[in-house]
Amino acid sequence: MALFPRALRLAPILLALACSGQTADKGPDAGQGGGEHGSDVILVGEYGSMTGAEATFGQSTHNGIMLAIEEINAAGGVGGKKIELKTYDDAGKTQEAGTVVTRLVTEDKVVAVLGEVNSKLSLAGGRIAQQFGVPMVSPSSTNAQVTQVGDMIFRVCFVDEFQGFVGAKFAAENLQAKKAAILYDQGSPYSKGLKDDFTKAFVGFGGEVVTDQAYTTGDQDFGAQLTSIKQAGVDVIYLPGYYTDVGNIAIQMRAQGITVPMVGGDGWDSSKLAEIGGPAIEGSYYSNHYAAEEDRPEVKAFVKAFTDKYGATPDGLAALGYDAARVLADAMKRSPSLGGKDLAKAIAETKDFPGVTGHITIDDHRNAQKPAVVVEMKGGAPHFVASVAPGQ
Amino acid sequence: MEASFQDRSAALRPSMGKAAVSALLPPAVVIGLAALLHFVIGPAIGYFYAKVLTDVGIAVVMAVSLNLVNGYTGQFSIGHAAFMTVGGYAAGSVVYYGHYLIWGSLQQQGGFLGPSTLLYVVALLVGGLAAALAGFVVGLPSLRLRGDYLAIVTLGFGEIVRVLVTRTNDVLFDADEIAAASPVTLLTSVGGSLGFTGLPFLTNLFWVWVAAGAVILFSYRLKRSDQGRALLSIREDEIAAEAMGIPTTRFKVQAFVYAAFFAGIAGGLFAHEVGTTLNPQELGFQKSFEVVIMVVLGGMGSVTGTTIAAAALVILPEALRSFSDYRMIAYALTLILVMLLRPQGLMGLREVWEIPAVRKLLRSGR
Amino acid sequence: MLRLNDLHVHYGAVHALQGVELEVNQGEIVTLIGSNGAGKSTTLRAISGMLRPSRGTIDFEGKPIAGLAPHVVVGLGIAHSPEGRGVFANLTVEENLQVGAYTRSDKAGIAEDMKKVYGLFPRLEERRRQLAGTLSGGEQQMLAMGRALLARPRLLLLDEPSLGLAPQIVKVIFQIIRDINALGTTILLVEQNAHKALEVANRGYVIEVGKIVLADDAKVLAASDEVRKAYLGG
Repeated sequence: MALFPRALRLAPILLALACSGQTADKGPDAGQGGGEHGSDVILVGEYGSMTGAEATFGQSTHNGIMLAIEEINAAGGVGGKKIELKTYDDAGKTQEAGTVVTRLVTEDKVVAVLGEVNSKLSLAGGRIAQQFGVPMVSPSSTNAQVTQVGDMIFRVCFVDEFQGFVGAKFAAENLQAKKAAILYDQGSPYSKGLKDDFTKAFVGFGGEVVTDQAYTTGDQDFGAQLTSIKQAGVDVIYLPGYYTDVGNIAIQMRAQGITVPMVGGDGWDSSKLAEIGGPAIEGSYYSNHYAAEEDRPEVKAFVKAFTDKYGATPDGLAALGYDAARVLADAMKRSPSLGGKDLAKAIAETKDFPGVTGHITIDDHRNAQKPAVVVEMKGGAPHFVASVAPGQ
Repeated sequence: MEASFQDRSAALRPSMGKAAVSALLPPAVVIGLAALLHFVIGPAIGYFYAKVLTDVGIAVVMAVSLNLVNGYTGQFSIGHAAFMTVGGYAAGSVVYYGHYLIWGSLQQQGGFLGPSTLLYVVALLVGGLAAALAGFVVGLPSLRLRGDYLAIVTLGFGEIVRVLVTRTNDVLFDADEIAAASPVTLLTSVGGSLGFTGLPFLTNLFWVWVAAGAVILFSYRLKRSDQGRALLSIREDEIAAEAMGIPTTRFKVQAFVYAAFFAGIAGGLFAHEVGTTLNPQELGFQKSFEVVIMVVLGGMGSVTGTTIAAAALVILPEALRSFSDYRMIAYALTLILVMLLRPQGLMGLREVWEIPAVRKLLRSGR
Repeated sequence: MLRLNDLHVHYGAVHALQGVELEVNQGEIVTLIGSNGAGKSTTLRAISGMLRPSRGTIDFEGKPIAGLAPHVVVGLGIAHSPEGRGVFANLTVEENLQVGAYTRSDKAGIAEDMKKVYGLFPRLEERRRQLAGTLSGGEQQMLAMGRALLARPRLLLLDEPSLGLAPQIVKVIFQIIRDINALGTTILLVEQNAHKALEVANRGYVIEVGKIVLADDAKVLAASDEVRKAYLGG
C-alpha cells in the first residue's frame, strides 16, 4: 500500500511518454523519404541565428530564402507540390544548432536543411544532418571543414581559400601592388584562414607580404600595429576581418596618414561598414559573392523582387540564401525521389546553375565552383569593379 | 539533520549488511535510473526529446555544482563556465588524440561500455580533475578574502581561459602527424575559436544522468553532513562560523574545488554531446551567467530547487521556440516575474519535500 | 588560566590595542568594560585567533596561543560568542547548536551537552526545529551562548550579550551567565552595560583607547568614582 498510490500518480506521465514514442522514429533513417507521406507540401528546414550577436546574418539569409520559396511556389512548386519552410533560431550557439537540426530532421521530418552562416554552427548542425542522412545546403559557411563532415553536406558559396586568392590577384594585377601588409583578427578562424590564403596567393603572383599584424575582435586601438605597417612602407593592406573592426581600423589608418588602398573579404559586407568607416573607407575594395549592380538578368530580377518585398537592397547573405533555396529546389525537380540519398546525388550534380551569386557548379568536394566579385566602396556603397572566376 | 544522526548511528551498529545497503542503494538507484533513461525512455521519446534531456542533464550538473559555491557557501562565482571549458578541452584532447594514438583513427571502438567508452569515462575524470586543479589555483588566493573578490577573479579567469583557447592551433587529423607530435603540440592543437571539431559523439543519456545523479547525491549528502552545515554557517555569518572553529578558508576552497570538478565533468559531457562543437565563445561569461541564474532562480542552497530551475531554463526556450523572436523576451519576463514574486528563489534553502504542501501530500500517500 | 601580556593589535594604520595586560583565573567571571571602540571586541578576537596580534603574548593554561588559527583555539577549549550574536538565520536551532560542536567528534558527549544546553535554555528546546532567524533577540542571544557552550569550552568569551535586549531579558541572560559559571565554565565577559557586568563578575578591567586603565575587584570598581562617572551614568 505504501508505494502504490504514488506509482499511480506517475501513470499518466508514463502513458504520455509511451504515446509520444509511437510517433517517433527509431532508426537513423528517420529523415529518409520524409515529407512524402502523400501530403501536398514539401517540408524544408532552416536554422539560423535569428537572435544573438549574429542576428543580422541570420535574418538577411532568411529573407533571401523566403523570397526564393515564394517565387518557386508561385511558379508551381516542385512536381506540383508547394515548398514549406520551417525555421528555427539557434541563437548562435552550437548546442542549440544541434538541437534544432535534430528537431527539424527527426520531429518535423524535413527533406533537407538550409543553414548556417557561421561555419562553427554549420559544423555542429551538419554532423546531425549527416548522421540522419538528410541533405544540408549551407548558404554562406566558407570554412573548408564544413563540407568535409560528409556526403550530405553542400554549400553554394566559395571557400575561403578562393577568396584569399581573389584578394591577392586583385591586389597584384589590378592594383599593381608588390608589397602588402596584413592586419587580421587572430580570434577568428575565418580571418586567420584568409590571411594564410592571401599570403600564399600573393607570393604566387610575385608579391611579398612584408608584415602581418594581429588584433582581437572588439579591440579599439590599433595604433601599435598601424605604426609598424606604416614603417614597412607597403602598396596595399589586406584586412580580412569583419566590418565593425574594419571600419575602426580604416579611420585610425587614415588618421595616421596611411593612404594606400585597403582590400578585404566578404566579412566587410554590411551597410554598417560605411556608417562606421565613413569617408575613411572610401576607395577600398573587397571580394564578395555578388554585387547588386552587376549587369546580369538574374541579379537584376532578384534585386528588384527583393527591394519590392523588403524595401532594402539585398546584401550578399540574402543573395546566398536565395541561391541556396533555389539550388535545392532545382535538385528536387531533377531527383527521382525526395529521399536523402537521391536528393544528395541530385544536388551534387548541380552544374552551371544560373545563381544570383554567379553560375554555380558543385564540385567533388560538395563546394560551389563560382566566380567572386570585387567591389569598391564609393559614395558610401559598394560598386562592382571586377569578377574573378576560379582557375584563372 | 535527524536523518544524519540516524545514518550515523546505523553505521555504528554491528549489522554491516544493512549499512552497506544504505550506502550502496542511492548510487545503484542513480545508475538504474540513468540506464532506464538511456535504454527505455530515450528510444521511446525520439532523438529530439532525448537531446533536450541530455541538455537538461548537463545543465543540472553545472547548476547543482555551482550551488555548492554560490548556494551553500554564499560566495559569488561568475566564472563557472570557465571550469567547464577547462574540463571539456582536457577530456576532448584525451578522447580525440587518445583514439589516434591508441587505435590510429577516430573510429569508435566497441559499443556501450566498449574501449572507446572506457577512454571517454577516463577522459571525463581527467577533465574533472583538471578543472578541480584550476579551481584550487583560482580559489586559494581569492577565497582568503571576503566579499566580491571571488566574483572579479572568476570573471577574469573565464576571460583568460577563453582567450587562451581562442589562440590555440587547428585540430590535427593526420594519424602520422599526431603520433609524431609532442604532448604540448597536441594540447595546443584544439581548434582555436572555430572550436574542437570532430570530437566523437560519446555522450549519451546514460553518462549525463549518471553524472547528474552523482552531483545531486553528493550535494545532498554534503548538505546533511557536518561539513555541509559548516559551509552553510559560513554563508550565514562568516565571522561567527570562524568563531565556532570552522576553518572557513579551507572549506570555501574545498567547496570551490568540488564545484570546479563537476563543472569539468560537465565540460567533458558537453564536448562529446551530439550536435555541439566545443568552442570558447559558447562557454564564455554568458554561459556562466546562465548557470548563476539557475541557482538564484532555484533557491540558493536548494539541491532540488536548482535541479528544477536548470531543467526549466533548458526546456522553456525550447518550448517557446515557435515564438521565434519573442521567446527571449518571454524567457526574460519569466525570470523577472519569479524574482519579483519569490526573491529567495523558487525553493529558498529548502528541498522539495520540505515544502509544507508537498509534505502533506507525501504523508497522505503513505 | 588566561594571561595577556603587552598585547598589541593593528588594523592597518590604526593601533587598536596598545599593550593590553589581562588575566583570567580558573572559575572566575571576569569582565572587560569600556566605551564603544575602546578595544573590547578586538581583545576577544585576538584571543580567539580571528585577529593576529602584532606584538605581545597570549597564554592559555600555560601554552602560548597568540596567532593560532581560530579552529585550533576552539579545539584548545576557548569558545567565542561573537558580538551581534551571529546566529545562522537559515539553519534551525538544533543545526546551529551542531555547528557549535563542529570541532568535537565525541557523539555521546555532544548529545549530552545538547541536553545540558536545552536544560539551561528550555526555550531553545521548544524551538529546536525552528529557523534561528525567526527567534526573538533574546532567544537568539541564548542560542549564540548555547552554541558556544557546545564546544565544551573551559573558557567562554562573551561579547556584548545584553546588546539591544529588553531589560527583563537582560536579567534572564545575566542569570544564565551565572549558571554557566556555576557549572564550571570560566567566563570573560565584554559589556557596555557596566552596571550589570560588574554585578555578576568577580573582577573587572576598564579599557580606554586600547589600554587597560583600571583593574580591580568588581565590587571595588562598581564603587569607584571614576567608573561610576564614566560608565555607570552617575
